[in-house]
Amino acid sequence: MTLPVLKVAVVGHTNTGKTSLLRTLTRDAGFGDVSDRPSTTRHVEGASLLVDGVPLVELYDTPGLEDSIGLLEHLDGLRDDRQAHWIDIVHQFLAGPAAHGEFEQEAKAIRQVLASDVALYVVDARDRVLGKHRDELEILGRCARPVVPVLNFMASPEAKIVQWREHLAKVNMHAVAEFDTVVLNESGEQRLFEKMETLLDAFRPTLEVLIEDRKRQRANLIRASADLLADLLIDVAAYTVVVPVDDQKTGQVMESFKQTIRDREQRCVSELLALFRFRPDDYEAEALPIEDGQWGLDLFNQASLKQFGVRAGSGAAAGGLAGLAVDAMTAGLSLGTGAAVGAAVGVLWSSSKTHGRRIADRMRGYTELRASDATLRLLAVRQMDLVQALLRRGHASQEKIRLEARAEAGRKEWLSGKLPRVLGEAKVNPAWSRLEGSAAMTGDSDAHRLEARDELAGVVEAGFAEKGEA
Amino acid sequence: MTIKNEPLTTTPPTLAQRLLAEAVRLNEDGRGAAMDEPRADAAARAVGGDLEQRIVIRAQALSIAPALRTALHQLRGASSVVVIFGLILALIAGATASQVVFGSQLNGPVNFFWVLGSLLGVHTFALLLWLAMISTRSSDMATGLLGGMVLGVGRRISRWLHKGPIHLAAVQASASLLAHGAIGRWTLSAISHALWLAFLIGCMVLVLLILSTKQYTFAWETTILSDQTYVALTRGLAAIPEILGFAVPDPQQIMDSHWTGSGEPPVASREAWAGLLVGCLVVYGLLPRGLLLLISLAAQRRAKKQFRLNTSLPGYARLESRLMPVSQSLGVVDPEASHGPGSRVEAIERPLAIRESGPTAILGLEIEPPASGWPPAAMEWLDLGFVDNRSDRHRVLERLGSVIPPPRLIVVVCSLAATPDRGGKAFIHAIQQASGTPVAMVLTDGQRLRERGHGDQVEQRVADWRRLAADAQVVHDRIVEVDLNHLTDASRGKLARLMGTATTVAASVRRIEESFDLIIEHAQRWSGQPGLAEQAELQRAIAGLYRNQSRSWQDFLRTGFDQNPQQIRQIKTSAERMMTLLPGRLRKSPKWLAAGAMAGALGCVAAATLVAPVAIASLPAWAGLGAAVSAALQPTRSNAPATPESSGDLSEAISSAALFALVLELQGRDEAAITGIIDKVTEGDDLPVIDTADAARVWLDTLRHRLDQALAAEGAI
Repeated sequence: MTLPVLKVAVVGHTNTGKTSLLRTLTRDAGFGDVSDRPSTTRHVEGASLLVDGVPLVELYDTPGLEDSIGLLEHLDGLRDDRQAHWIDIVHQFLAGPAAHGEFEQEAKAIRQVLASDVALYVVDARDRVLGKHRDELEILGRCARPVVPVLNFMASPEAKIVQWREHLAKVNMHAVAEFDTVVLNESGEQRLFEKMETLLDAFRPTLEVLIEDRKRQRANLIRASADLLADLLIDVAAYTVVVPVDDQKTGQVMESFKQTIRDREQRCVSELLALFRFRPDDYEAEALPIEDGQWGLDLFNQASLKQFGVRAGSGAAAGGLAGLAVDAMTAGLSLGTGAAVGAAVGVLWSSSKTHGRRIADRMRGYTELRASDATLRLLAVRQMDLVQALLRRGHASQEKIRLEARAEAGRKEWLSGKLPRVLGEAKVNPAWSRLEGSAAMTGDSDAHRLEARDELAGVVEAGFAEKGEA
Repeated sequence: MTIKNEPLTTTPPTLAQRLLAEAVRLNEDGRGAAMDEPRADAAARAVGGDLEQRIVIRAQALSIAPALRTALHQLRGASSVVVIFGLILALIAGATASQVVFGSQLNGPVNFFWVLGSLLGVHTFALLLWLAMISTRSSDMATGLLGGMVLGVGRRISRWLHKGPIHLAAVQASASLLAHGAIGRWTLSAISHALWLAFLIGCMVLVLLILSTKQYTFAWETTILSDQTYVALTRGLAAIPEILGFAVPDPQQIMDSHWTGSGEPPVASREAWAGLLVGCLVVYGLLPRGLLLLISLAAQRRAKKQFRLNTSLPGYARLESRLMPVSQSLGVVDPEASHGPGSRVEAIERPLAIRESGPTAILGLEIEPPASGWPPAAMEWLDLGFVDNRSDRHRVLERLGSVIPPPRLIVVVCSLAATPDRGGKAFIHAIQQASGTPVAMVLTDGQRLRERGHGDQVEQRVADWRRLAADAQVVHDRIVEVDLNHLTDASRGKLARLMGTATTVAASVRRIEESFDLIIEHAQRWSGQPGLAEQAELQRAIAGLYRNQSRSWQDFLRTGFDQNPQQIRQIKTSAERMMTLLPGRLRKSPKWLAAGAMAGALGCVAAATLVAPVAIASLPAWAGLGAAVSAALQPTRSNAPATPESSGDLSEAISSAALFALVLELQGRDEAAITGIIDKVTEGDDLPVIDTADAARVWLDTLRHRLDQALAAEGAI
């Protein structure tokens, strides 16, 4: 690839999220220092964006322009000749003593702008348009480089978008990008690159390649997370343990059964986090609906069902106490015994398709444990929420995302609609589960399991798509 | 393929290498996580290339690679043995078929079409089926059914010989390779064709042997068909063999060969018929199968070359972050100077003293006009207005130089929502220098910052502003945090103290005991768990106690409740507001959260009905109250009502009323202070179960006691 490498200087007032923008664009939560304090960044630090290992865009994080009013006054003072080009005055300033004294921080930023092809001017859109911002724009205007203003914190209710756009239009900046380094908008990044394209014709192919690559990555991410979810759901739905109908023993067995499912869910969470490039030590700073990489509420706690709005269903009502979302299958035989088991260990029972094997098991005094629909629904919705949150957030986020209660078709379907057909199939195929204790996996079930997983992943993926459009 | 460790290459990966990567993926899928071998990851990153290339190189560099290679090799060996065995079996089967066909026709002439159908019938049917499958691109496995069966046997034998996850992964990898895409289709097709070819060769050899060593006369029979049909059929069959030089019967010979069960078999046409039989076997059996075998092998070769790993599979996608960094640090290109702007030592000047007389000037530095009006209504000001830009700064400096008498103190109001910067510092320093008048700073907008979710960072921000003030030579004591957006008696007192004027604000009267008594009184009246209306009545009564401060607490709790269509949202805002006041410990408790949300929501209702009492239940927003509370409570769930588990439990109603009373009592303090006191007051266990008014009294007494302690501790600071 012989595409020209685009150099970008990221400038702006102090604490507007310049470093955060770089973190989001580089997907590197470890880039630079981010804090909510002024002048955290006092040097110029760079990172390049790679496509297939080839650097295409170089981004440079600069110190904030803190004293733009003072600097502008200084620049005005340097201009004796009214015919002089401002860019020459800027060079004069950089060569002068002020660039190493009073305005050293600003000089670093400006030097980097001059060394770059384009400047991204990052604005905290929650701020009003103040004199200092106008002066910053004026100074950048004198640097003779294209400038793309980036309105950060767009997701905040305080964001003053109209005001900013009006002002930017007044100073002839019409290609404005909106962004949120905390809540990553799916297309925000793409639009940012597109805005840069409009100003930088020579780098259009470079940016096109980058945009395409990012799109592909995202589609891959969505598909891969759908696969992980489908894998989890099939593992759990198919997980069947045959246990003796023995009250005392069943209590213990039940606990290990639930623990296996809990561990499986946790594995899915870890895999999702790894997939989205979140390192374990990011948990503290990087907030998700989970804490320390785990869901706060236990899977088998009634509150979890409630929190996610999962109806435990009629089986729960029959069991008397809702929440312990495990079915003990009785194969439609001896309702009395089944109910007694259910009461003794607090399981929900429900009859299911009668299978010869099951009847035989019953005859021998065995029963089957498997996860109930409510558990499957909860698992699905919980993990989908996590994926959704992971998809949305930028790598710079330092606060917990509050997922807005949304009317989402995909989610609703999982909460109260009919569960996908494949899950029903999984339930009668214990061999599909890779969880320990379920019937051993055989080569034959593999292809069918793979097919089922692909189909389910399609359903899950469609759920994401619907959510995305909402 | 060799079993030796293959060198890491940058050339495009071979199929064997890709297969190894597949086996690694399946092995990792089975164990649930990708192997963490930094050496392998580093090797992949070092070589570079696209993701697939890196995955392949990582797979080769993993420690299990040799074992997997061996397993794949063994599997291949087993499959080859089975295929060869299958070919031999097919050969024998073909020979046997010929033997049987000719053997069954010992008496009289041989029925030509019977022999031909027996030898080529199944083959032709299978061939047509294969053509249909391959042209419709239906299930790949079905396409080479025979081949699939043979390889399946091979896999089974291999599985039976070698157990363990490594061999399982190898088997799965080769199965997945064959189950999807062109490789599987053409490999299985090639095996199928080879087997049929072997079968037909077997037939052919034996047919030739039989025809060479025995004498047969060929004939045909029919019951319902006409002679013409058979002539046409035979000529049709013979068309191609004839071109290829096989002896074929002419129409007359065909007519003569019609055998009606008696008479002399037509001896003359014997050779022609034998020639046609062999010709048909070659033209309709051996040639097409041989050709298709070659085509399949060529297609398989092509498919092998074109085969790429599906890098969007989760097993591969999770490696992308390790193997394929999307960015790369360029490091620091322009380092921070050894003397940072903050570390520059500025001459410590003697702090300016506040003048005995003169007006107190006030200006807002880059702030939004406070909600409580400008200038703050605490005293008489010399208003210098808002300073947003360069000309404002010049205006203020000129005004300060010209105003007579000079102000005794300049109050600069700054916003905590803004980040302190050197520009602001320079300005503050400048006005102090130019006017010789000391500056005091008021930090407002703390609430706005908290609402951004930066509750914990408010302290940090205040410290940053204090540092800026210190740099600008502002005396430490002359900086206060007062939120001008909702001025309370307490904050007015703070402002007055800052300016050195006597404070005339009377300490607010303590009413917490009365509030708690009200709660107990109501609790006695309740039978069972109170409804929302009863709880709202209680909160209205409590709010009534603080009627004279209603303005400030209503601002504080953001209960701007009026007859607009946003009522539900308003209730939700209040509920959320109350929840943010809860200390982090309580926010983890669903019961406390629910109590907080309820207190906020009902506080909103209480505020609405305080001035003009109306029947609470008749409020238009009433119906949506529960939903608003739920929505505030659980942003992630859609519609689960917040209902306590048992109906006799009053704890949620009591605690929500108590929270409301506490907040009203503590109003005027910083938000952080209120949260701190609530934390102290509610210390200990989670909310206890309160089922009687007496239990409520005991609990409320404990709260009051802890409140006294907390307030005493606050006074001591």
